Amino acid sequence: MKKILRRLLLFIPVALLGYVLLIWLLGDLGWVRCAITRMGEEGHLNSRVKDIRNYHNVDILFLGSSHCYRTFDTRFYNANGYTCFNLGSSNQTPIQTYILLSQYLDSINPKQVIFEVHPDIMRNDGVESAVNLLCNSPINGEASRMAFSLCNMKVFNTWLYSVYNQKIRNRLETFREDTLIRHYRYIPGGFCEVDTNEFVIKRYPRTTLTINPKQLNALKKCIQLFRDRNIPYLLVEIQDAYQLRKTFTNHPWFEEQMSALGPYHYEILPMVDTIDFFNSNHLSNPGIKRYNQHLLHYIDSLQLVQPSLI
Amino acid sequence: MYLCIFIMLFNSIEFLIFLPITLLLYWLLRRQLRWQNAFVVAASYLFYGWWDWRFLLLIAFTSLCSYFSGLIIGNKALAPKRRQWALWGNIVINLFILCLFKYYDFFAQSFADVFLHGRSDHLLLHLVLPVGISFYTFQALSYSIDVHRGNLPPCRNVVSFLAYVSFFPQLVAGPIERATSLLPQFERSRTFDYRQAVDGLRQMLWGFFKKMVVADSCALYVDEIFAHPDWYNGATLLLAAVLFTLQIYGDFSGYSDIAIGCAKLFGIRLRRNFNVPYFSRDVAEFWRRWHISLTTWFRDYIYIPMGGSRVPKGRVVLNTFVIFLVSGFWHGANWTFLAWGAYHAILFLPLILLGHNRRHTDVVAAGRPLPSLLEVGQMLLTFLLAVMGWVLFRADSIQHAFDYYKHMFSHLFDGTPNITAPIDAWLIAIAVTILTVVEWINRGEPHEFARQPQSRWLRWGFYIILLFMIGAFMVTNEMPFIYFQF
Repeated sequence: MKKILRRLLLFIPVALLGYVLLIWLLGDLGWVRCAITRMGEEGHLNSRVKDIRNYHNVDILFLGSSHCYRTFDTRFYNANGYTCFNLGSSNQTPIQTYILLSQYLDSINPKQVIFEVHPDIMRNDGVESAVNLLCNSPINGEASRMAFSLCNMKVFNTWLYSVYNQKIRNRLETFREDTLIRHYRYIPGGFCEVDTNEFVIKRYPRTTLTINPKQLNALKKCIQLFRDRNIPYLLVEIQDAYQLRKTFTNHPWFEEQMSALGPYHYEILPMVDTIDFFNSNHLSNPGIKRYNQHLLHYIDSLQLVQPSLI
Repeated sequence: MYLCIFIMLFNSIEFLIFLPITLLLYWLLRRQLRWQNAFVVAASYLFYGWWDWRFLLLIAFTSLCSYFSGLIIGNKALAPKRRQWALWGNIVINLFILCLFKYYDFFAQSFADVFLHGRSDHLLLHLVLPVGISFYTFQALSYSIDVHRGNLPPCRNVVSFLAYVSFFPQLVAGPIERATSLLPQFERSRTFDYRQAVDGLRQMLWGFFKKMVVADSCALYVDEIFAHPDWYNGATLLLAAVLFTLQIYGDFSGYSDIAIGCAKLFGIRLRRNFNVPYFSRDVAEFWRRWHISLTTWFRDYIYIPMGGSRVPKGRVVLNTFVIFLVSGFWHGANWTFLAWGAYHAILFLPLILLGHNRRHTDVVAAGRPLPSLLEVGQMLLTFLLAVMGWVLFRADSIQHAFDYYKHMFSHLFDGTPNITAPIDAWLIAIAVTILTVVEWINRGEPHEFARQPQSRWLRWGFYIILLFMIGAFMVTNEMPFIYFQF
């Protein structure tokens, strides 16, 4: 028994070291793609975290998932007098938003925050967004804690590989992300534009909405950051296509939960699925235009912040 | 399927914590056999109860029925008729429980489909299928039959008997152990054997690789393609059938390797369940190498008592069909499993009628590094026949299977396999190559990962590569083992 324990005590550190070295050595190979997420694969977060350094004291900071960075067109708000930045990223949940805020909130110092909340994101485990964040944004203590707390091998592998990329190879700084990734074009300021439309009519199963307690807790922590800095915030839910929306059995419950956290805006605009939506839960260009006009009107009516470009 | 997946899977964090603690406490009790066995029972019941504690009552009931019936059956002072009654009583009780949970709804639904225009609401019970019920029921049954046959004396120690039925490594998906082999191991003290434990760890590592890299990666493709066979061309469907052939092998033999390896850590030897079945040269050899503990169970307790192959040819045909149909039906309450059994019976019959069923009892290419061209052809043909059978096994219904075959053969030459899946095809190719090479090298060994390089650093290097593949390519959701549902 002692002999096997001795051998295991020797083998385990060797195996761990070997594992780390293999992740570092093979991480660049194509077939390791499913194990590790790499820079610039999705959502333009890499471009966004470089771009954000140029933005300070903005009027509006947009936060959220793909619904955020594919809806809140910063050019439209600029044209209406607001300086703004869109810090959304692919499937970004409040857990990852909190980490991004801990890194960038003080430097960007917004006058107001629009925090996009979506039922799908609030029940998400946060894995997709975690790997996206770890490989595209600088790894700090908070990000490392998140990587371990999610207990997921893909997150852990991506963290290992990103540590190597960022701390040893310094690739984060030298990497240049494509402006165009899978039809999505990055616009300085954080918005992503897409010219195609993928909308297909599908039947979705009826869904009872739930909220992941970890996401709710992270959302509360984000809100606390705004409160500590006296930054007014607004939780915004962008409507889904009717064919998806009608499958939610308890949306009023979700609205109730969000309203309890502070100012919350959810309004269903008269939109047509096949015209105003890119897919079941993302707006198309006409839909984006209509939604932003509506939101701008709402923000103006709140008079929380004056547009600094006028 | 009403299978609940909250069971403590071998590929879960819970098991990673459970196993070392259990091992440590188990060996601390090595000088007190009774307490050690009691601990095995407690740990096994915790393992099983992790899923649903209520089903502990069922396994305890099954075990105690078999234990007490064994005492009666083995009591020579009692009248033979009374002993016979005890045997049949135990068989009926065990089969009744098995049929109630596993087959009742299937028969009720089939009855309703034929006679009640499908209106079955008032007939169905919707019972949850207890995980591993087919495995531990067969284990309990074999004990009473063996006692009746005089193959072993009745067990008088209830704790040892409970440990025999519930020993956690093989409780939920086998191998189906025989009392003649496992029970005596619980009745004598065990000593920790370094070599056996290292071999066990090695076998577990290989099992994890087969399950978490080969099987789970294949599953991502298979699930997608089997869900929409009409979306793909014939080559893609053929590829998916091949991948399912690899998936089910990786999944089930991987589980068996983990179970057998894990048992070795406890000083217990379990029987081999797979012996490189895809290197078989005909279907008869395939069945001697696939799920050995089940096929030998059926052979010893059903086929041979029916006369086996030493009866007139008409009876041989009947016996062969019975054994394969029962074997198919054992896997689940669906016509697809029966069809799968019948398919293999049809393949097996010519061999047994011509007396060719024991032509290949040795290992392929024994003493040679590579097989001859003839052997390659025989192995490929057998593999292809197995692939066609697995389509029936994987399909949701007979209609689904026939649609799959129809689409596969009618569009076979429409193009190359064309699918997008969440993982790279290269990964599967690398994993399958490692699987094939390692199992070929070890085809004559006691298990598929037995032969190792002499150099410790080479050995450790290979273990690290396997660990890397497991850690890097495991499907991050814990995927339950296919055979849990049986």
